[in-house]
Amino acid sequence: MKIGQDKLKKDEKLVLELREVFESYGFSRFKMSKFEEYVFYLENKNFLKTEQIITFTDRGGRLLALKPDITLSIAKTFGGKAGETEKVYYIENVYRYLKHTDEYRETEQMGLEVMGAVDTYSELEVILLAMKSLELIDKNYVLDISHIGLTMGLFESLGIEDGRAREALQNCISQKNGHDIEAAAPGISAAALDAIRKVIALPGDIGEALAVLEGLSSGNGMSQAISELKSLWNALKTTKYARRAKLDLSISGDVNYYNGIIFRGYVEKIPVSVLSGGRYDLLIQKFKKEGGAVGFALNLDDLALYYPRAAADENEVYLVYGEDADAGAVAEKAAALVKEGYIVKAQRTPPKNADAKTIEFRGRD
Amino acid sequence: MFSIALPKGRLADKTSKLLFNLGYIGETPADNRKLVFCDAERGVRYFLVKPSDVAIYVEYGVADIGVVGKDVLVEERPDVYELLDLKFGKCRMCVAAAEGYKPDMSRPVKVATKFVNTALAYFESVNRESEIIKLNGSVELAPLLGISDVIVDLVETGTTLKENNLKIIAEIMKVSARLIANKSAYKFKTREIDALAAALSVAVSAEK
Repeated sequence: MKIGQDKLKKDEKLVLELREVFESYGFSRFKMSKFEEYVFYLENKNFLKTEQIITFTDRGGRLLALKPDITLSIAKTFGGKAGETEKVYYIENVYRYLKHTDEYRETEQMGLEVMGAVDTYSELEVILLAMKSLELIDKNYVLDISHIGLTMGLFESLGIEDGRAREALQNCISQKNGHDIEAAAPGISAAALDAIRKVIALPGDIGEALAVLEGLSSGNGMSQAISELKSLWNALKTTKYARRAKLDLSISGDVNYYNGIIFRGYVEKIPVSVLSGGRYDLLIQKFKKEGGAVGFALNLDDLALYYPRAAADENEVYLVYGEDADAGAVAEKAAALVKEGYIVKAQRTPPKNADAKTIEFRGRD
Repeated sequence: MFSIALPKGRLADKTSKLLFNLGYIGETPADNRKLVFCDAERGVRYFLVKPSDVAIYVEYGVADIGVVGKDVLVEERPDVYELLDLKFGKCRMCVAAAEGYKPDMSRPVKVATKFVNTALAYFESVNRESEIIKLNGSVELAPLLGISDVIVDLVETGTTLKENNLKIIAEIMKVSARLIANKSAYKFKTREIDALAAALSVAVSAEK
Protein backbone atom coordinates (compact mmCIF):
# COMPACT_ATOMS: atom_id res chain seq x y z
CA MET A 1 0.00 0.00 0.00
CA LYS A 2 1.33 3.41 -0.95
CA ILE A 3 1.17 5.98 1.82
CA GLY A 4 0.29 9.50 0.74
CA GLN A 5 2.95 11.89 2.04
CA ASP A 6 0.28 14.45 2.92
CA LYS A 7 -1.24 11.98 5.40
CA LEU A 8 1.97 11.95 7.46
CA LYS A 9 2.73 14.41 10.20
CA LYS A 10 5.85 16.55 9.79
CA ASP A 11 7.96 14.47 12.19
CA GLU A 12 6.84 11.18 10.63
CA LYS A 13 7.66 12.42 7.15
CA LEU A 14 11.02 13.80 8.26
CA VAL A 15 12.01 10.51 9.90
CA LEU A 16 11.36 8.63 6.64
CA GLU A 17 13.27 11.18 4.57
CA LEU A 18 16.22 11.31 6.96
CA ARG A 19 16.51 7.53 7.19
CA GLU A 20 17.05 7.50 3.47
CA VAL A 21 19.60 10.33 3.63
CA PHE A 22 21.52 8.88 6.58
CA GLU A 23 21.57 5.36 5.12
CA SER A 24 22.81 6.61 1.77
CA TYR A 25 25.86 7.97 3.62
CA GLY A 26 26.55 4.60 5.17
CA PHE A 27 24.95 5.11 8.57
CA SER A 28 23.22 2.06 9.96
CA ARG A 29 20.33 2.06 12.38
CA PHE A 30 21.02 1.38 16.04
CA LYS A 31 18.08 0.32 18.17
CA MET A 32 18.70 0.35 21.89
CA SER A 33 16.71 -1.08 24.74
CA LYS A 34 14.49 1.17 26.82
CA PHE A 35 16.44 0.68 30.01
CA GLU A 36 20.03 0.89 31.13
CA GLU A 37 21.37 0.10 34.57
CA TYR A 38 21.25 3.23 36.69
CA VAL A 39 24.87 2.74 37.76
CA PHE A 40 25.89 3.29 34.12
CA TYR A 41 24.47 6.82 34.20
CA LEU A 42 25.81 7.42 37.69
CA GLU A 43 29.35 6.56 36.61
CA ASN A 44 29.05 8.87 33.60
CA LYS A 45 26.94 11.63 35.06
CA ASN A 46 29.46 14.26 33.95
CA PHE A 47 28.45 13.46 30.40
CA LEU A 48 24.71 13.80 31.02
CA LYS A 49 22.80 17.01 30.52
CA THR A 50 20.39 16.07 33.28
CA GLU A 51 20.84 14.58 36.72
CA GLN A 52 17.17 13.79 37.14
CA ILE A 53 16.62 10.27 35.94
CA ILE A 54 13.58 8.00 36.29
CA THR A 55 14.66 4.85 38.08
CA PHE A 56 13.00 1.63 39.18
CA THR A 57 14.05 -1.73 40.56
CA ASP A 58 13.69 -4.83 38.42
CA ARG A 59 12.72 -8.24 39.81
CA GLY A 60 16.32 -9.20 40.43
CA GLY A 61 16.92 -6.10 42.55
CA ARG A 62 18.95 -4.20 39.95
CA LEU A 63 18.29 -0.49 39.77
CA LEU A 64 17.30 0.39 36.20
CA ALA A 65 16.81 3.75 34.55
CA LEU A 66 14.70 5.02 31.67
CA LYS A 67 17.26 6.32 29.22
CA PRO A 68 17.82 10.08 29.47
CA ASP A 69 20.42 10.05 26.69
CA ILE A 70 21.31 8.00 23.62
CA THR A 71 24.87 9.03 22.82
CA LEU A 72 26.20 7.56 26.05
CA SER A 73 24.82 4.11 25.20
CA ILE A 74 26.13 4.34 21.64
CA ALA A 75 29.60 5.33 22.83
CA LYS A 76 29.59 2.35 25.16
CA THR A 77 28.63 -0.02 22.34
CA PHE A 78 30.61 1.26 19.38
CA GLY A 79 34.00 2.74 18.58
CA GLY A 80 37.45 1.63 19.60
CA LYS A 81 38.34 -0.55 16.62
CA ALA A 82 41.76 0.85 15.71
CA GLY A 83 41.70 2.81 12.46
CA GLU A 84 38.05 2.07 11.76
CA THR A 85 35.19 4.51 11.47
CA GLU A 86 31.75 3.45 12.64
CA LYS A 87 28.59 5.32 11.64
CA VAL A 88 25.23 4.84 13.30
CA TYR A 89 21.93 6.66 13.49
CA TYR A 90 18.99 6.27 15.85
CA ILE A 91 15.34 7.20 16.36
CA GLU A 92 14.59 6.89 20.05
CA ASN A 93 12.58 8.26 22.93
CA VAL A 94 14.42 9.80 25.85
CA TYR A 95 13.07 10.68 29.27
CA ARG A 96 14.11 14.00 30.67
CA TYR A 97 13.19 16.32 33.46
CA LEU A 98 11.88 19.70 32.31
CA LYS A 99 12.59 22.65 34.57
CA HIS A 100 9.76 24.76 33.12
CA THR A 101 6.96 22.39 33.93
CA ASP A 102 8.71 20.61 36.81
CA GLU A 103 7.93 17.19 35.38
CA TYR A 104 9.42 14.42 33.28
CA ARG A 105 8.70 14.28 29.61
CA GLU A 106 9.18 11.70 26.91
CA THR A 107 10.74 13.27 23.84
CA GLU A 108 11.59 11.75 20.51
CA GLN A 109 15.05 12.24 19.11
CA MET A 110 16.71 11.31 15.88
CA GLY A 111 20.43 11.62 15.52
CA LEU A 112 23.65 10.21 14.21
CA GLU A 113 27.17 9.57 15.45
CA VAL A 114 30.51 8.93 13.75
CA MET A 115 32.99 7.16 16.02
CA GLY A 116 36.54 5.88 15.87
CA ALA A 117 38.88 7.35 13.27
CA VAL A 118 37.41 10.86 12.99
CA ASP A 119 38.92 13.74 11.00
CA THR A 120 37.95 16.99 9.28
CA TYR A 121 36.03 15.07 6.62
CA SER A 122 33.95 13.35 9.33
CA GLU A 123 33.15 16.73 10.89
CA LEU A 124 32.23 18.16 7.49
CA GLU A 125 30.03 15.16 6.67
CA VAL A 126 28.18 15.45 9.99
CA ILE A 127 27.73 19.21 9.55
CA LEU A 128 26.44 18.77 5.99
CA LEU A 129 24.01 16.09 7.14
CA ALA A 130 22.87 18.37 9.98
CA MET A 131 22.23 21.16 7.47
CA LYS A 132 20.47 18.79 5.08
CA SER A 133 18.25 17.70 8.01
CA LEU A 134 17.40 21.32 8.84
CA GLU A 135 16.69 22.05 5.18
CA LEU A 136 14.22 19.17 5.07
CA ILE A 137 12.32 20.77 7.96
CA ASP A 138 12.33 24.29 6.55
CA LYS A 139 14.11 25.96 3.65
CA ASN A 140 14.77 28.86 6.00
CA TYR A 141 17.26 27.55 8.54
CA VAL A 142 20.53 28.54 10.22
CA LEU A 143 23.35 26.45 11.66
CA ASP A 144 25.39 28.24 14.31
CA ILE A 145 28.90 26.85 14.60
CA SER A 146 31.47 27.43 17.33
CA HIS A 147 34.32 25.63 19.06
CA ILE A 148 34.40 24.68 22.71
CA GLY A 149 37.97 26.03 23.01
CA LEU A 150 37.16 29.51 21.74
CA THR A 151 35.77 31.26 24.82
CA MET A 152 38.15 29.53 27.25
CA GLY A 153 41.03 30.40 24.92
CA LEU A 154 39.78 33.96 24.69
CA PHE A 155 39.70 34.36 28.49
CA GLU A 156 43.22 32.94 28.61
CA SER A 157 44.42 35.36 25.92
CA LEU A 158 42.84 38.26 27.82
CA GLY A 159 44.34 37.19 31.14
CA ILE A 160 40.96 36.65 32.82
CA GLU A 161 41.71 33.96 35.40
CA ASP A 162 38.98 34.28 38.02
CA GLY A 163 36.41 31.49 37.74
CA ARG A 164 33.45 33.60 38.75
CA ALA A 165 34.34 36.36 36.26
CA ARG A 166 34.74 33.75 33.51
CA GLU A 167 31.30 32.35 34.23
CA ALA A 168 29.70 35.80 34.30
CA LEU A 169 31.43 36.77 31.05
CA GLN A 170 30.41 33.47 29.46
CA ASN A 171 26.81 34.39 30.33
CA CYS A 172 27.24 37.80 28.69
CA ILE A 173 28.50 36.12 25.52
CA SER A 174 25.67 33.54 25.55
CA GLN A 175 23.09 36.31 25.87
CA LYS A 176 24.79 38.67 23.38
CA ASN A 177 24.85 41.12 26.27
CA GLY A 178 27.47 43.78 25.59
CA HIS A 179 26.25 46.22 28.27
CA ASP A 180 26.75 44.20 31.47
CA ILE A 181 30.37 43.13 30.84
CA GLU A 182 31.83 45.63 33.32
CA ALA A 183 29.32 44.60 35.99
CA ALA A 184 30.14 40.93 35.31
CA ALA A 185 33.88 41.40 35.65
CA PRO A 186 34.59 44.53 37.70
CA GLY A 187 37.91 46.12 36.81
CA ILE A 188 38.10 44.46 33.38
CA SER A 189 40.67 46.15 31.11
CA ALA A 190 39.53 48.33 28.24
CA ALA A 191 41.18 45.96 25.76
CA ALA A 192 39.38 42.93 27.19
CA LEU A 193 36.07 44.78 27.22
CA ASP A 194 36.54 45.69 23.56
CA ALA A 195 37.54 42.10 22.66
CA ILE A 196 34.45 40.60 24.29
CA ARG A 197 32.19 43.14 22.60
CA LYS A 198 33.76 42.17 19.25
CA VAL A 199 33.10 38.50 19.96
CA ILE A 200 29.45 39.25 20.74
CA ALA A 201 28.97 41.16 17.49
CA LEU A 202 30.88 38.92 15.05
CA PRO A 203 30.17 39.44 11.33
CA GLY A 204 27.77 36.96 9.72
CA ASP A 205 30.27 35.56 7.23
CA ILE A 206 32.38 32.81 8.82
CA GLY A 207 35.54 33.79 6.94
CA GLU A 208 35.30 37.38 8.17
CA ALA A 209 34.38 36.26 11.68
CA LEU A 210 37.45 34.01 11.83
CA ALA A 211 39.63 36.94 10.80
CA VAL A 212 38.23 38.98 13.72
CA LEU A 213 38.96 36.12 16.13
CA GLU A 214 42.49 35.74 14.79
CA GLY A 215 43.09 39.37 15.64
CA LEU A 216 42.11 38.69 19.25
CA SER A 217 44.01 35.47 19.73
CA SER A 218 47.30 35.25 21.51
CA GLY A 219 46.98 31.95 23.32
CA ASN A 220 47.47 28.41 22.16
CA GLY A 221 43.98 27.18 23.02
CA MET A 222 42.34 29.81 20.90
CA SER A 223 44.65 29.43 17.88
CA GLN A 224 44.08 25.69 17.96
CA ALA A 225 40.31 26.23 17.90
CA ILE A 226 40.57 28.82 15.13
CA SER A 227 42.73 26.55 12.98
CA GLU A 228 40.25 23.66 13.37
CA LEU A 229 37.37 25.94 12.41
CA LYS A 230 39.38 27.24 9.46
CA SER A 231 39.94 23.80 7.97
CA LEU A 232 36.26 23.07 8.38
CA TRP A 233 35.23 26.37 6.83
CA ASN A 234 37.61 25.93 3.88
CA ALA A 235 35.78 22.71 3.07
CA LEU A 236 32.30 24.02 3.83
CA LYS A 237 32.49 27.32 1.99
CA THR A 238 32.39 25.76 -1.47
CA THR A 239 29.12 23.95 -0.77
CA LYS A 240 25.61 25.30 -1.31
CA TYR A 241 25.09 25.22 2.46
CA ALA A 242 27.82 27.76 3.22
CA ARG A 243 25.66 30.87 3.49
CA ARG A 244 23.35 29.23 6.03
CA ALA A 245 26.22 28.56 8.45
CA LYS A 246 27.22 31.23 10.95
CA LEU A 247 30.00 31.47 13.49
CA ASP A 248 28.36 32.32 16.79
CA LEU A 249 30.03 32.09 20.19
CA SER A 250 26.72 32.50 21.99
CA ILE A 251 26.16 28.77 21.63
CA SER A 252 27.97 26.94 24.35
CA GLY A 253 28.48 23.35 25.28
CA ASP A 254 29.52 21.36 28.28
CA VAL A 255 33.32 21.22 28.56
CA ASN A 256 32.98 17.78 30.17
CA TYR A 257 31.43 16.52 26.98
CA TYR A 258 32.64 18.41 23.94
CA ASN A 259 36.27 19.05 23.01
CA GLY A 260 36.08 20.54 19.53
CA ILE A 261 33.51 22.07 17.19
CA ILE A 262 29.98 22.50 18.50
CA PHE A 263 26.89 23.52 16.56
CA ARG A 264 23.22 24.30 16.97
CA GLY A 265 20.48 24.44 14.34
CA TYR A 266 17.45 26.65 14.08
CA VAL A 267 14.48 26.70 11.69
CA GLU A 268 12.29 29.70 11.12
CA LYS A 269 9.04 28.58 12.73
CA ILE A 270 10.42 26.98 15.90
CA PRO A 271 11.42 29.35 18.73
CA VAL A 272 14.10 27.07 20.18
CA SER A 273 17.01 25.23 18.60
CA VAL A 274 15.96 21.89 17.10
CA LEU A 275 19.37 20.39 16.50
CA SER A 276 22.58 20.29 18.48
CA GLY A 277 25.84 18.45 18.27
CA GLY A 278 29.59 18.56 18.14
CA ARG A 279 32.87 16.75 18.59
CA TYR A 280 33.04 14.67 21.78
CA ASP A 281 36.24 12.61 21.95
CA LEU A 282 36.27 12.79 25.76
CA LEU A 283 33.30 10.47 26.03
CA ILE A 284 34.93 7.85 23.80
CA GLN A 285 38.10 8.09 25.87
CA LYS A 286 36.09 7.66 29.07
CA PHE A 287 35.18 4.20 27.77
CA LYS A 288 38.91 3.48 27.27
CA LYS A 289 38.51 3.48 23.52
CA GLU A 290 40.79 5.07 20.98
CA GLY A 291 39.79 7.73 18.51
CA GLY A 292 37.11 10.37 18.60
CA ALA A 293 33.47 11.01 17.91
CA VAL A 294 31.23 13.59 16.30
CA GLY A 295 27.45 13.62 15.96
CA PHE A 296 24.19 15.45 16.46
CA ALA A 297 20.67 14.97 17.78
CA LEU A 298 17.49 16.41 16.35
CA ASN A 299 14.44 17.03 18.50
CA LEU A 300 11.37 15.71 16.68
CA ASP A 301 8.82 16.72 19.30
CA ASP A 302 7.95 20.24 18.31
CA LEU A 303 7.82 19.67 14.56
CA ALA A 304 4.16 18.70 14.24
CA LEU A 305 3.16 21.62 16.47
CA TYR A 306 4.97 24.30 14.49
CA TYR A 307 4.55 22.70 11.08
CA PRO A 308 0.98 21.37 11.11
CA ARG A 309 0.05 19.36 8.02
CA ALA A 310 -2.34 20.90 5.53
CA ALA A 311 -5.93 20.24 6.56
CA ALA A 312 -6.65 16.72 5.40
CA ASP A 313 -9.94 16.89 7.25
CA GLU A 314 -12.00 18.29 4.38
CA ASN A 315 -12.94 14.88 3.12
CA GLU A 316 -13.80 13.47 6.53
CA VAL A 317 -17.29 11.99 6.96
CA TYR A 318 -19.21 10.47 9.84
CA LEU A 319 -20.95 7.26 8.82
CA VAL A 320 -23.81 6.99 11.31
CA TYR A 321 -25.47 3.59 11.19
CA GLY A 322 -28.74 2.67 12.87
CA GLU A 323 -29.10 0.26 15.78
CA ASP A 324 -30.29 -2.62 13.59
CA ALA A 325 -27.87 -2.08 10.71
CA ASP A 326 -26.02 -5.17 9.59
CA ALA A 327 -22.33 -4.97 10.61
CA GLY A 328 -21.19 -6.50 7.31
CA ALA A 329 -23.21 -3.98 5.34
CA VAL A 330 -21.73 -1.08 7.35
CA ALA A 331 -18.21 -2.39 6.64
CA GLU A 332 -19.01 -2.59 2.93
CA LYS A 333 -20.38 0.95 2.91
CA ALA A 334 -17.33 2.24 4.83
CA ALA A 335 -14.97 0.51 2.39
CA ALA A 336 -16.85 2.03 -0.56
CA LEU A 337 -16.50 5.54 0.94
CA VAL A 338 -12.78 5.01 1.65
CA LYS A 339 -12.35 3.99 -1.97
CA GLU A 340 -13.95 7.26 -3.03
CA GLY A 341 -11.25 9.04 -1.04
CA TYR A 342 -13.12 9.78 2.18
CA ILE A 343 -11.78 9.47 5.70
CA VAL A 344 -14.56 7.51 7.35
CA LYS A 345 -15.49 7.63 11.03
CA ALA A 346 -18.17 4.98 11.48
CA GLN A 347 -20.19 5.12 14.69
CA ARG A 348 -23.67 4.23 15.86
CA THR A 349 -24.75 7.55 17.32
CA PRO A 350 -24.56 10.92 15.59
CA PRO A 351 -21.55 12.96 16.77
CA LYS A 352 -22.33 15.61 19.41
CA ASN A 353 -20.19 18.26 17.74
CA ALA A 354 -20.33 17.29 14.10
CA ASP A 355 -17.23 18.92 12.61
CA ALA A 356 -17.65 17.04 9.35
CA LYS A 357 -20.30 15.82 6.96
CA THR A 358 -22.60 13.11 8.35
CA ILE A 359 -23.96 10.23 6.26
CA GLU A 360 -26.84 8.27 7.76
CA PHE A 361 -26.87 4.57 6.91
CA ARG A 362 -29.77 2.33 7.88
CA GLY A 363 -28.94 -0.97 6.20
CA ARG A 364 -28.36 -1.89 2.62
CA ASP A 365 -28.45 0.95 0.06
CA MET B 1 6.80 41.60 10.46
CA PHE B 2 7.85 41.30 14.04
CA SER B 3 6.07 41.22 17.34
CA ILE B 4 6.99 42.93 20.57
CA ALA B 5 5.92 42.02 24.11
CA LEU B 6 5.68 44.96 26.47
CA PRO B 7 5.09 44.92 30.21
CA LYS B 8 1.89 46.68 31.28
CA GLY B 9 2.48 49.90 33.16
CA ARG B 10 5.17 52.54 33.07
CA LEU B 11 7.71 50.55 31.05
CA ALA B 12 5.10 50.06 28.30
CA ASP B 13 4.24 53.76 28.18
CA LYS B 14 7.89 54.71 27.97
CA THR B 15 8.75 52.06 25.36
CA SER B 16 5.74 52.74 23.15
CA LYS B 17 6.51 56.43 23.21
CA LEU B 18 10.05 55.62 22.03
CA LEU B 19 8.77 53.27 19.32
CA PHE B 20 6.25 55.91 18.25
CA ASN B 21 8.96 58.59 18.01
CA LEU B 22 11.14 56.21 15.97
CA GLY B 23 8.24 55.57 13.60
CA TYR B 24 7.84 51.88 14.43
CA ILE B 25 4.23 52.29 15.52
CA GLY B 26 1.47 54.71 14.56
CA GLU B 27 -0.31 54.91 17.92
CA THR B 28 0.54 54.30 21.55
CA PRO B 29 -1.41 52.31 24.16
CA ALA B 30 -2.27 55.63 25.82
CA ASP B 31 -4.36 56.46 22.72
CA ASN B 32 -6.19 53.22 23.06
CA ARG B 33 -7.21 50.61 25.61
CA LYS B 34 -6.53 47.54 23.48
CA LEU B 35 -4.01 44.96 24.66
CA VAL B 36 -2.92 43.87 21.18
CA PHE B 37 -1.96 46.29 18.43
CA CYS B 38 -1.30 45.34 14.88
CA ASP B 39 0.33 47.88 12.63
CA ALA B 40 0.27 46.11 9.27
CA GLU B 41 1.64 49.11 7.43
CA ARG B 42 4.83 49.16 9.51
CA GLY B 43 4.93 45.40 9.97
CA VAL B 44 4.81 45.51 13.75
CA ARG B 45 2.51 43.78 16.20
CA TYR B 46 2.77 44.41 19.90
CA PHE B 47 0.93 43.43 23.00
CA LEU B 48 0.82 44.27 26.68
CA VAL B 49 1.34 41.52 29.23
CA LYS B 50 2.16 41.21 32.92
CA PRO B 51 5.78 42.38 33.47
CA SER B 52 6.92 39.07 34.90
CA ASP B 53 5.50 37.25 31.84
CA VAL B 54 7.29 39.23 29.11
CA ALA B 55 10.33 36.96 29.15
CA ILE B 56 8.11 33.87 28.82
CA TYR B 57 6.37 35.28 25.73
CA VAL B 58 9.76 35.97 24.18
CA GLU B 59 11.33 32.65 25.16
CA TYR B 60 8.39 30.75 23.64
CA GLY B 61 8.62 32.83 20.48
CA VAL B 62 5.15 34.39 20.63
CA ALA B 63 7.02 37.69 20.66
CA ASP B 64 10.28 38.16 18.76
CA ILE B 65 11.46 40.84 21.14
CA GLY B 66 10.36 42.31 24.45
CA VAL B 67 11.12 44.90 27.08
CA VAL B 68 11.63 43.61 30.60
CA GLY B 69 13.27 44.62 33.88
CA LYS B 70 16.70 43.18 34.68
CA ASP B 71 15.19 41.92 37.96
CA VAL B 72 12.95 39.50 36.03
CA LEU B 73 15.87 38.29 33.87
CA VAL B 74 18.04 37.57 36.91
CA GLU B 75 15.21 35.88 38.76
CA GLU B 76 13.77 33.75 35.92
CA ARG B 77 16.91 33.18 33.83
CA PRO B 78 15.04 32.82 30.53
CA ASP B 79 16.99 31.47 27.55
CA VAL B 80 16.96 34.68 25.48
CA TYR B 81 19.36 37.27 24.08
CA GLU B 82 19.67 40.46 26.09
CA LEU B 83 20.53 43.03 23.45
CA LEU B 84 20.34 46.45 25.07
CA ASP B 85 20.19 48.31 28.36
CA LEU B 86 17.36 50.80 27.80
CA LYS B 87 18.47 52.82 30.84
CA PHE B 88 14.97 53.66 32.03
CA GLY B 89 12.82 52.07 34.72
CA LYS B 90 15.85 52.39 36.98
CA CYS B 91 15.81 51.03 40.51
CA ARG B 92 17.94 48.86 42.80
CA MET B 93 17.55 45.34 44.16
CA CYS B 94 18.31 45.71 47.86
CA VAL B 95 18.40 43.91 51.17
CA ALA B 96 16.53 45.94 53.79
CA ALA B 97 15.88 45.47 57.50
CA ALA B 98 14.14 47.29 60.35
CA GLU B 99 15.99 50.26 61.87
CA GLY B 100 18.29 48.93 64.56
CA TYR B 101 18.46 45.37 63.09
CA LYS B 102 21.48 43.42 64.30
CA PRO B 103 22.31 40.26 62.36
CA ASP B 104 22.47 37.07 64.44
CA MET B 105 25.26 35.07 62.77
CA SER B 106 24.55 31.98 64.88
CA ARG B 107 21.50 31.06 62.77
CA PRO B 108 20.36 31.38 59.14
CA VAL B 109 18.96 34.78 58.20
CA LYS B 110 15.21 34.75 57.42
CA VAL B 111 14.47 36.56 54.18
CA ALA B 112 11.05 37.55 52.84
CA THR B 113 10.94 38.29 49.11
CA LYS B 114 9.22 37.94 45.76
CA PHE B 115 12.65 37.25 44.22
CA VAL B 116 13.52 33.82 45.62
CA ASN B 117 16.36 32.88 43.25
CA THR B 118 17.94 36.32 43.41
CA ALA B 119 17.90 36.30 47.21
CA LEU B 120 19.29 32.74 47.42
CA ALA B 121 22.12 33.54 45.01
CA TYR B 122 22.99 36.75 46.85
CA PHE B 123 23.22 35.21 50.33
CA GLU B 124 25.20 32.30 48.89
CA SER B 125 27.64 34.79 47.33
CA VAL B 126 28.27 36.43 50.71
CA ASN B 127 28.54 33.03 52.37
CA ARG B 128 25.51 33.49 54.62
CA GLU B 129 23.01 30.69 55.12
CA SER B 130 19.48 31.89 54.43
CA GLU B 131 15.91 30.75 54.81
CA ILE B 132 13.76 32.25 52.08
CA ILE B 133 10.07 33.00 52.58
CA LYS B 134 8.27 33.72 49.33
CA LEU B 135 5.71 36.51 49.51
CA ASN B 136 3.71 37.91 46.60
CA GLY B 137 3.26 41.46 47.83
CA SER B 138 3.57 43.92 50.74
CA VAL B 139 7.00 42.46 51.43
CA GLU B 140 7.87 45.50 53.60
CA LEU B 141 5.52 44.24 56.28
CA ALA B 142 7.44 41.01 56.86
CA PRO B 143 10.14 42.33 59.27
CA LEU B 144 7.58 44.49 61.11
CA LEU B 145 5.33 41.51 61.71
CA GLY B 146 8.26 39.29 62.61
CA ILE B 147 8.01 36.80 59.70
CA SER B 148 11.53 37.58 58.58
CA ASP B 149 14.73 39.37 59.62
CA VAL B 150 15.24 41.11 56.31
CA ILE B 151 13.60 41.57 52.92
CA VAL B 152 14.98 41.52 49.37
CA ASP B 153 13.04 43.88 47.16
CA LEU B 154 13.21 46.54 44.46
CA VAL B 155 13.81 50.05 45.77
CA GLU B 156 13.12 53.04 43.57
CA THR B 157 12.95 56.14 45.78
CA GLY B 158 13.12 54.50 49.19
CA THR B 159 9.90 56.17 50.36
CA THR B 160 8.06 52.91 51.03
CA LEU B 161 10.98 51.64 53.09
CA LYS B 162 11.11 54.84 55.12
CA GLU B 163 7.36 54.78 55.75
CA ASN B 164 7.72 51.29 57.15
CA ASN B 165 10.76 52.10 59.25
CA LEU B 166 13.12 49.99 57.14
CA LYS B 167 16.59 50.81 55.88
CA ILE B 168 18.79 49.42 53.12
CA ILE B 169 21.60 47.25 54.49
CA ALA B 170 23.02 46.03 51.14
CA GLU B 171 22.57 46.68 47.44
CA ILE B 172 22.46 43.50 45.33
CA MET B 173 22.33 45.07 41.86
CA LYS B 174 21.18 47.98 39.79
CA VAL B 175 18.07 47.31 37.71
CA SER B 176 16.79 48.88 34.51
CA ALA B 177 14.68 47.93 31.50
CA ARG B 178 16.32 45.64 28.93
CA LEU B 179 15.56 44.77 25.32
CA ILE B 180 15.46 40.99 24.89
CA ALA B 181 15.06 38.79 21.79
CA ASN B 182 14.02 35.23 21.10
CA LYS B 183 17.13 33.30 20.06
CA SER B 184 15.57 31.67 17.00
CA ALA B 185 13.74 34.80 15.85
CA TYR B 186 17.01 36.73 16.10
CA LYS B 187 18.66 34.34 13.61
CA PHE B 188 16.02 35.02 10.98
CA LYS B 189 15.35 38.72 11.61
CA THR B 190 18.87 39.81 12.57
CA ARG B 191 18.90 42.91 10.42
CA GLU B 192 15.48 44.20 11.56
CA ILE B 193 16.11 43.49 15.24
CA ASP B 194 19.63 44.98 15.17
CA ALA B 195 18.28 48.09 13.43
CA LEU B 196 15.59 48.53 16.08
CA ALA B 197 18.12 47.97 18.90
CA ALA B 198 20.50 50.52 17.33
CA ALA B 199 17.73 53.11 16.93
CA LEU B 200 16.57 52.57 20.53
CA SER B 201 20.14 52.82 21.77
CA VAL B 202 20.60 56.21 20.09
CA ALA B 203 17.20 57.41 21.37
CA VAL B 204 17.83 56.47 25.03
CA SER B 205 21.36 57.95 24.95
CA ALA B 206 20.00 61.21 23.54
CA GLU B 207 17.45 61.44 26.37
CA LYS B 208 20.09 61.34 29.08
